[in-house]
Amino acid sequence: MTAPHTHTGDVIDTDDDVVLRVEGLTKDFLVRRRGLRREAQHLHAVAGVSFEVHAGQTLSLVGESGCGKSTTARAVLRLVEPTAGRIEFRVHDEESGRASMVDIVQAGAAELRRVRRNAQIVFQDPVASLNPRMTVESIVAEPLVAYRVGTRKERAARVRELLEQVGLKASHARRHPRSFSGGQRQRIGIARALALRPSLIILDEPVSALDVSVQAQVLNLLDELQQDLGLSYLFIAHDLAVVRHVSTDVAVMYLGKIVEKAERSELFDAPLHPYTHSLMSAVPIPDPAIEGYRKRIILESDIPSAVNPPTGCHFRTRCPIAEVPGPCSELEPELVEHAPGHWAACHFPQPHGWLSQTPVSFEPPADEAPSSP
Amino acid sequence: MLAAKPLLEVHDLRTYFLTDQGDVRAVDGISFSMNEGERLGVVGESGSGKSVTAASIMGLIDPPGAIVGGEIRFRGRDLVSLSEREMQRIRGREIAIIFQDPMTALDPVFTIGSQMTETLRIHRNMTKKEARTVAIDTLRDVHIPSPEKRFRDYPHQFSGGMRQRVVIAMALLCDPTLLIADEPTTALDVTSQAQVMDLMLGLANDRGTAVMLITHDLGVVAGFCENVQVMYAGEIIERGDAKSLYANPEHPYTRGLLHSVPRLDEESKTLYSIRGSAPSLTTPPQGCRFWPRCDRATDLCVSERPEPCHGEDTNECACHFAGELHRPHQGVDA
Repeated sequence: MTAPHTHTGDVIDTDDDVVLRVEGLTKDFLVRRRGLRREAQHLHAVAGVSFEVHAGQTLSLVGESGCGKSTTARAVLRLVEPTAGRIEFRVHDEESGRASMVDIVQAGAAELRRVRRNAQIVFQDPVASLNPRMTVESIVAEPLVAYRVGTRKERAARVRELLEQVGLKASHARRHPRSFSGGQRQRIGIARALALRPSLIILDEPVSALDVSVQAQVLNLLDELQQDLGLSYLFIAHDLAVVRHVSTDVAVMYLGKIVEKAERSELFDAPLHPYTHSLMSAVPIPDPAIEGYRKRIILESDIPSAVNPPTGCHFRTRCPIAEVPGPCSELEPELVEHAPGHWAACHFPQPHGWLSQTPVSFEPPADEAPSSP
Repeated sequence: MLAAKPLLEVHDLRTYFLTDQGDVRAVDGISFSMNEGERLGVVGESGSGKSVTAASIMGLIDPPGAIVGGEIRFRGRDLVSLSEREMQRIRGREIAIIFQDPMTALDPVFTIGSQMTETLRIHRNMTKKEARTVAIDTLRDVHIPSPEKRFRDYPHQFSGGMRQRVVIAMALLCDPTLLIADEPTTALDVTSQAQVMDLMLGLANDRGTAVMLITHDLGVVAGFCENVQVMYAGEIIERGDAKSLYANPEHPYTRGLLHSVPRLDEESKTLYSIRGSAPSLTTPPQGCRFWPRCDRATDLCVSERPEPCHGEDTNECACHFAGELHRPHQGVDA
């Protein structure tokens, strides 16, 4: 079997704990306009995104549909070809015991194969991502077969070990996906992702299709696996409450760009970007006492087209504080570091105090504090 | 003060789906009532029977499904005994429903204007001109920008959130007294969800419409409903006014559910998780349906079904140990 997949104690060529470093990642899709004025247009699904995932940690990309988070996830593994950018991934060389960074965008077939062995992906829909004709054993063993790991007997043993690791029974190996519930199917997907002992797992909305009680089981499992195996996660999600729960760092995306990025507590306690404020204010809290006095920022209109994004700041058409005409419509804001590790792309970032003056706060108003339940 | 007369009274309703593998008891003996203007949340996970409850009220149960027992009284009339023709007169005009996917209510080949005016001309005998005025006014009520222009647009020209608003406008055309909203924001992004819920709250208040909000999202209910009932495996296992139900859930399932949701206002470490998954509705467990997943199940729970919620009191709980759960116990309160 393969070597234990923690990198501690090895001589490494990289000088930090970065497992994945993405710089200026861009993905354009060509969309053709049909009809009389036929012309090629570009949809900028991902427009210059940069982030790092550190060893044993979780970076979440959060945003609404169409913000480019899933395309980013797929581009990282070159499941869609990036248009531009650099994606460095730490690969561990078993012979020399060294770790080095490989640029996934430039990687040839052999190198890409090595990368994909170490970086796996789990998708949202556990039904669509599992072949209904295959047994659980052949599904989970598939990566092992593809990478010619072990003998048939060794693979069968590894599959049983994996199933137990994700909270299933070894006896489940001979069954087909249809005999499992949604949560169990997602566990099968996770077992398959773990088969080759990857260092990074990309989780693309892994719990969005699950019921609340099952969602909690899967989130706890992912947390245990991360601690036991030292895994790094790139977590793609739209649910801010889930993101707050799982993340070490969070990047908020809007129309193909990261608009704010910070360590988890920093981002949730002191958001800077008006979009982050708006998103947070829109998430309902399961507590009628809090919902009773909480007021929301209701954003007007819809997310603009990524084919023709607005000039200047992409968020200005919906922003409650945009100065238009003015800097917000004229100049696209750069991602600027406002506090150590806390980046925001906004001409008028709202500091800590803005929370208490705008109706986003979780604190009850001073004059009408609710009676304790 | 006079007690408000119930608008809707459901008594011991049973809706089964008769399949080759046996009867699927999707809704199995539920009782509840709703007053005029009340906002009631029906919460449950997939397969709990919440949507089948809605479809039963609307008379939308098709074979192999059937209402095999119980009654649904709307303003005193039993809807179960009505003919399809009689039901059609109630549907839309007195009780309207909106679904998760707005396209189930919209015809892709007609403009939204023609679909709205058709409804008004059939249900309210309006002239074309009157119908047009009412339709445009209603579009304005649901905050569709430039309604005169959008009136001529087809459903595909609207975004998801806008489409759901069009559906809400259509549901409100005949000024129903009860609006059933079945997962109305589940397919929407969180900012669109906030828009739609804000809109529904305003409309319900302005028009005095009673709303039954069916959802799996405990957060959405918290901000919208006065009363909540929790469904599990075809039964209502707990009901109460929202504030006390969320603050002091009596049923272990409700408690577990509330503790297993990550919250935006908390940095939790490990989530409480209810073990296992929902039971089969063909052969549900004997006794309490929740016992195989319950931390405090006893022999009594395995052998005897707890007294179901009667729908008579605001706060009820179908658990043998209701009222005793407030003392801390392992797991849920951790």
